[in-house]
Amino acid sequence: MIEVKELTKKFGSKTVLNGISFTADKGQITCLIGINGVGKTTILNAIMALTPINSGEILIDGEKIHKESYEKITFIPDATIMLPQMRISEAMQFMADFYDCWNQKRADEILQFFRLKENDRISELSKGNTAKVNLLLGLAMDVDYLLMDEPFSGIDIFSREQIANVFSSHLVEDRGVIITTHEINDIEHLIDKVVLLDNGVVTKEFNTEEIRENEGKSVVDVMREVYQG
Amino acid sequence: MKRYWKLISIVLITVLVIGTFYIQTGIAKSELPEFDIKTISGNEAELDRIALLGHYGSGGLIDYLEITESGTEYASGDSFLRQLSGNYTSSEVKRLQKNYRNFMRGKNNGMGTFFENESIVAYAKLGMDSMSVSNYQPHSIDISILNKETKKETSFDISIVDDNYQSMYIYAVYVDEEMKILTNNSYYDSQAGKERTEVHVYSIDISAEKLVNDDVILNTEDASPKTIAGIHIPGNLDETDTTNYLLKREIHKEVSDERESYYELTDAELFLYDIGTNELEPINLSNDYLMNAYPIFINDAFIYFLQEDEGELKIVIYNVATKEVERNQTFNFSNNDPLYDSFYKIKDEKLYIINTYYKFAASGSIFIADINTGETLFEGTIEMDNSDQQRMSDLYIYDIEFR
Amino acid sequence: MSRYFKLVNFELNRFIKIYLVLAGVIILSQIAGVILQANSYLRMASEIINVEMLSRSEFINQYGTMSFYQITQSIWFDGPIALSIVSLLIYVFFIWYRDWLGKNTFVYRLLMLPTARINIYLSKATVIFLMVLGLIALQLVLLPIEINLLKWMVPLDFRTDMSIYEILMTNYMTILIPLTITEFIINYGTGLMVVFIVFTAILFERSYRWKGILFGLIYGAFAVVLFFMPMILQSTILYEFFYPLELLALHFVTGLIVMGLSVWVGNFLLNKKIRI
Repeated sequence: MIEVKELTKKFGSKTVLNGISFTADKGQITCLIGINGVGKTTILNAIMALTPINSGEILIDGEKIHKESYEKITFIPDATIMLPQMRISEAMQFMADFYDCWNQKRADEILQFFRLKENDRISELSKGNTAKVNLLLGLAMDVDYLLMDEPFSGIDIFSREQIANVFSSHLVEDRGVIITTHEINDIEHLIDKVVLLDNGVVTKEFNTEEIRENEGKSVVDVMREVYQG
Repeated sequence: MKRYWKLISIVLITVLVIGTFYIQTGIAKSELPEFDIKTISGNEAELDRIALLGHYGSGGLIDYLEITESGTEYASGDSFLRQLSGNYTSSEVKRLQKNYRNFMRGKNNGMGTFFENESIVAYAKLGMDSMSVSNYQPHSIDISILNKETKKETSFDISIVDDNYQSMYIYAVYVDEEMKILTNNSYYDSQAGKERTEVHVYSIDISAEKLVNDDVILNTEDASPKTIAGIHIPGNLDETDTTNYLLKREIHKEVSDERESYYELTDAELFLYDIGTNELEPINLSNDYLMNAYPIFINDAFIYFLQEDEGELKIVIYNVATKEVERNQTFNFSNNDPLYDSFYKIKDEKLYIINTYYKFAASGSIFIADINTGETLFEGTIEMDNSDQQRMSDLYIYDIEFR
Repeated sequence: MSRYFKLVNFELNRFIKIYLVLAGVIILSQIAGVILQANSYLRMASEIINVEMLSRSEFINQYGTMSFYQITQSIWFDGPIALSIVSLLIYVFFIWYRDWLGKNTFVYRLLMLPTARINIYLSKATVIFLMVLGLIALQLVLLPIEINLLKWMVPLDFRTDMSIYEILMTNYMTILIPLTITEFIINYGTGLMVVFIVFTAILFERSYRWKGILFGLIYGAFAVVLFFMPMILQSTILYEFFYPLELLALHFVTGLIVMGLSVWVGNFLLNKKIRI
């Protein structure tokens, strides 16, 4: 379980996150929803210790992040974080070199699924394929938790579908996933939990299944209530 | 492993090349010529406790060296750490540094002068107005004294009242009942438009830490245009060896051209200055001695003059107590190098003459004789080993050290 | 193999192309310099000997012989060395900033590696250090080759031979290639320390951005003052107090402190303050 407790983050005098708390369980897809600039990416960066936080605490399976944690949790940002001059094969080699949890068999499987070519250079790929490589490098790791930042933004419709399919496959099954998005249409049916963010605070945290069964509302309905009401 | 070949080969090559270079540097330094003292006659044991200090090289490339009986040692052959701890420090000062390490702190920069006897080590240095190099105007003499027995260190300053002096240097420090500091003070005489020099003997009461007497034993202002006066500090005074005496020499000249570039000696006078009593008295010697003999050594009883007489080398020994020439000692010195190219020293009643300068593969000479009997104790040459190699450089010997 | 070595290898491969170009420029330029200068000297010699009807020895007396000294004084020889120094100095900064460049910020990946983040710092420093020493080794290999090339081109009468040590002694190169191993260790130890100081200053900037530039400069000044503290004392309140060896030992100690401090602060910044 990933626990975010009272997370506060300021950029200069501007408070972006003001005491954010939520949890994300293993085996569930948790979606952070909020308008652009609400600090979703910052939360993911903070979980990965990629940006300092002003106060609060983040625990992964009960402990603070440390170097071995990166064998257990990984982050797929919205842009490639591999060297653009690398070929896909070299990028995979790099991952295999540094991560014990790298699963080459699974990587090959995803490669095939996305129809990517090993020898292509990352810099020469289309936007959709770049995102897929990004996804490939994260998903092929045998980690317990996956963080994804806007996996669908700016991607063509076919790629979207392919990527969305990944979420319902065994590639994501059993893992804890935190995903950020500002439009949930594509994945509404996939997500287990929603954390709504506004003005640096969590405005609502709910289970999609429960709210559908108990109140008969979709995620979008709840969002409308929260933001307009 | 295969993917690491670039890293591994760069590391290996770098370590190998740099390692080899520094191993070879050690070897290459031994390529500098080896100088040996070769015996012509006499007892080699005479060389046991002496070392010739010099440098070898040409142009800007000079390497300091030390020639002893056992061979040549170059300063560059020393490890860097040894070079750092003092190529330019005399062995006397090194000895003092070893024995009185804390007292000697900050006193090794060649700025001051030492004196040592059985009970004390004394040090005097000029106090400058600022630490900047451009301002050498001294305002005081800073004195430190170490009591060897109590290990107590005393320091005090003696301020120099006359602030006209533009530069000063300390010839020697001497301690008996009082402390005496010999200095050369120069100033610019704007009226005459000339640089003037004074030689002072400052007498200092150590316990009161006060200047008690300032004796000017030489002043170029007093001298007539036909006189050149100079102070002769015998070679042994600048070391921590001690003697009570100084010599003052005045030369009278006849200028034979207007630009004073050439003159003939007409007369010379010599005075003995007793540092202990501050008394200056003339030495009565015949003109032949006064004009042609060159004082090289003084001890408490004798003054030794060196004179070259028709190719023959002679030491004139003057007795201070009787005020007469004790005797002339001649030496059987076969080398016919001119006197001015040689280096003289008297130590423990032995005369040492070393030819200072030679070029290319020519050999130098060393001569040791008993000063009392004139007997040649050792005569030899300084020769370059493997001198078949053409060498572009010169050897220059500037000092002899006794160990 | 530990992740540190993998990182070193990885960083090396990122720079190897530029590095090989630098090495190539050094080799080509210095060899060309020897050939061109030897040729121009020989051409001048033959012209003067023929035109002014001088004998060989008269010519040598008037115009001097050719030695490696002339070679080292030329831009062909110095130029590529200066170029390498400047390139490596720039790379000390670029080795960090390239990871933040563009939209593909590789620093995400580096910071998410399952290894202590200080290994990133140390591997970058190692690569810089190795690159410098590699070029030194290259120069040491090149010198004897160039010396022999000169010997081969210029006849014995017209040249004065210099050994590699004489060449180094008459040149600013003694700083880069000192003649004793102790000085070598001192110079490159100091160099490594400076790399650490600069790295930590860069991390200040990367952590606090605009304010970080100021922090970095303050840190750099502080580290330099700390390192030179014995020398500063020696020339002020403890005037000439230390013996040379003591001074060296003290600088060794302050140098180690500055290196340790830089790595420690760098580690702290990488773990707690760094921003992607």
